[in-house]
Amino acid sequence: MAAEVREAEQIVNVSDSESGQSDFIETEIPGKSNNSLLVASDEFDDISYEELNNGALQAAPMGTINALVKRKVKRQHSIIESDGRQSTVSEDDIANDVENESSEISGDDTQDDNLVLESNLADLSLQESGSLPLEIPSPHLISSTNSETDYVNSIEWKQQKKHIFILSDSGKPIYSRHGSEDKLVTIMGVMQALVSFVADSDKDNLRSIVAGDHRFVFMTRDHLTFVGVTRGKESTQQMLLQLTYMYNQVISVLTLSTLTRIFKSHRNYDLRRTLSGAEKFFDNLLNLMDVEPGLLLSSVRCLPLDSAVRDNISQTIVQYAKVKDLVFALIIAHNQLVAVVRMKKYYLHPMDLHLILNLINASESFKAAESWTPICLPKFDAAGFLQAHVSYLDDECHTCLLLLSVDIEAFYVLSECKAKIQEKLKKYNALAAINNSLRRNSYSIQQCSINDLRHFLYKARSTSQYTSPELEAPYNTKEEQERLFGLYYYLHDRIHTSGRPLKILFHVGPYETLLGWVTPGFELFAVFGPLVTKITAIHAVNKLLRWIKKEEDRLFILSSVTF
Amino acid sequence: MSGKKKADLKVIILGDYDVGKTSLICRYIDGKFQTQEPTVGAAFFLKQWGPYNVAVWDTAGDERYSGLSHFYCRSAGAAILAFDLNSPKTFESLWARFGSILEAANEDCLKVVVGTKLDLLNQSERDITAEEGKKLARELNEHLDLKKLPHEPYFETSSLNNQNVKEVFEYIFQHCLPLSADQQKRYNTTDRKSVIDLMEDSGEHSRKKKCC
Repeated sequence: MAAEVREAEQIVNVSDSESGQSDFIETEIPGKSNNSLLVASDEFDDISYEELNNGALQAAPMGTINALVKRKVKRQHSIIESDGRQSTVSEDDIANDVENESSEISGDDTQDDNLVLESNLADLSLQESGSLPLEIPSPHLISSTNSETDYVNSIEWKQQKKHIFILSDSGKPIYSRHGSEDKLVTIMGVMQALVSFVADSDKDNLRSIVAGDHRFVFMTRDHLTFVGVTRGKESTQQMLLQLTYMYNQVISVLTLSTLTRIFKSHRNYDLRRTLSGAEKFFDNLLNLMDVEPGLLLSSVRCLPLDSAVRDNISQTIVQYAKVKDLVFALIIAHNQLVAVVRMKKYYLHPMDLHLILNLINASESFKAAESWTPICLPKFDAAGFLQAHVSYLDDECHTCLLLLSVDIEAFYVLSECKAKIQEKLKKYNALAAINNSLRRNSYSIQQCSINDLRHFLYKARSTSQYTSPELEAPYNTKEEQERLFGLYYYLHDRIHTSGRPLKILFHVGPYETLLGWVTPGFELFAVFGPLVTKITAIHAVNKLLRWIKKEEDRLFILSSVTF
Repeated sequence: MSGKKKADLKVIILGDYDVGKTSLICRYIDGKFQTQEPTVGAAFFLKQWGPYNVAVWDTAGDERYSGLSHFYCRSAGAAILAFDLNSPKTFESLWARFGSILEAANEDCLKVVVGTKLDLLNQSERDITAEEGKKLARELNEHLDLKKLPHEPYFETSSLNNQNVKEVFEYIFQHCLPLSADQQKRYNTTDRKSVIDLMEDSGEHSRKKKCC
């Protein structure tokens, strides 16, 4: 890593704001709500290797589904306490921290790794094939031939920007993002050897290796080893987050109980057998991570809608889907949240929501007919499945309704709910409103009317939702988008680096100027043209915050509706 | 819970991954062939048969969804056991995997063995003979009086060329929810999307039924 830094120093000029603190105006936090529908989470800060060793998932509320089912059996009306706690904590945090927010600006920027970002700017040749998630054919569906063996030995394979591998304790290949895992037995064996050598020799864990411009990140959990190899801009921590998403996806397909049971009885089990058909979820999730900042931010994007329309939609769901054992009801359009209704006391975690989005995004088959499928939401309850009733509400299959229940027999009841909800939403023109919003493509950066602001990501922490404008010129090519994403990775990592987190970072790069600003209430990452000064940038983000505040009813879901 | 969707018959389709279960159903219900994405979980179709509603459950072939099988098998009146005519493994699975799953179905559940992808089959090199298929069909339906059926519950189909697809479903429906020739005529007009198809087929069909 040291070598990279030295190269970069010559072309980069980085400076932090130390004196500018008083220029940041305390505005009311846009998109803030005390009545959140999602668990307020900054998963990124929570993820660490220490956490992993303590079994992060088991610590999460377990047996939620069991509790719900038991309650159903006993017909008790007392409501089980669950993760309601989490949301209260975060609210308090905000209240405490808001006061000293502006005084805590961390200045020093001499730390070297911030320069890693720029080191590879010249090296932005992008070998990744395909552009949209769905267009990339799953390598697993192609029949195994010699050409596959050739592929994994080819330069093309080696130059893929990011590899993700999953293997079992005993070194059995389970999944590879590029190329058939069948053909990668040897290399997976090497990975397993590295992991177990470190584990055996000093009871330690192998975390990461940096070799040239490649970063290898390892994560071992529940008999599975996840390995990410990247030559992109992701930091070790960010890769760890991505591997955690992969782990959650495995759990989502199998449940943690099944996974543990399998490996308890057969250490040598070939998990591919059980995961067959699920590869597309892994592929799609990884593609989603490359284009969707929500996964990095542990937050979701809402479809911009008038709050009256949105209220109408949620109320329709409440009215027509008042069914026992229905835990969550969601409407999703093009990876954006339209509405969520939840059972009292139960919250949806953004990471779980991303798995739901991925389920919808990865499977065309839902467009054919109403479906009924098990899904495990690891943050909700890693031990069991919820049953999802999935259907599209419009003929063009843009708007998807999900009804998540703990009752496997509920299909027909939910199917009737769906029919009624669909009828009402059509009648109220809500589906038309959703389609209109989809057609309008979110919003253009010009609508914020701020000079030289090119793009931004704004996350409201209390509601775990984010907003960002459309990607426009100069970020209208895949290469440029990827570069922009790299800038966000860099900014995000610098601000959240566990060793020395920053409040504000002003960074002047060769092609753009970046400003990152994190408070207990929000995270803002803004990208300006290269010639913007610190003062201009500060004024601009203040103006931006006011604009977002003005639009917040449309851009965020601020009230949480319960059954 | 108006019972609007209460179906008179539940038909399920089982079989290994990628044998063409969804294609078979879509060919019958939508009347067209298109490549299908792998099914996730189970998908629900409703089909009119005369005055009756028939629920058709399409299921995912992947083993990890076996937890759902109890749900869709219960009270099934008929099951289509699909295998790929070109893959002996999928034929063996019918016995090995799905026999036990079907214990949850109705006692008088009609089990129809259906070979798919007939268009890909080279008759001179086939691994599974029609006789073997029929034998399995007989064994699976030991509990039924097969003499009441027009022929053994075994079909070889091609969803691509629309060979024998309609026949499978109508064989099942006619067994479980028999329509008189008169009813068939009356409902057939509203039943199909393609007018030309239905005039030809329905006439022929009802005549056939009468002979049996």
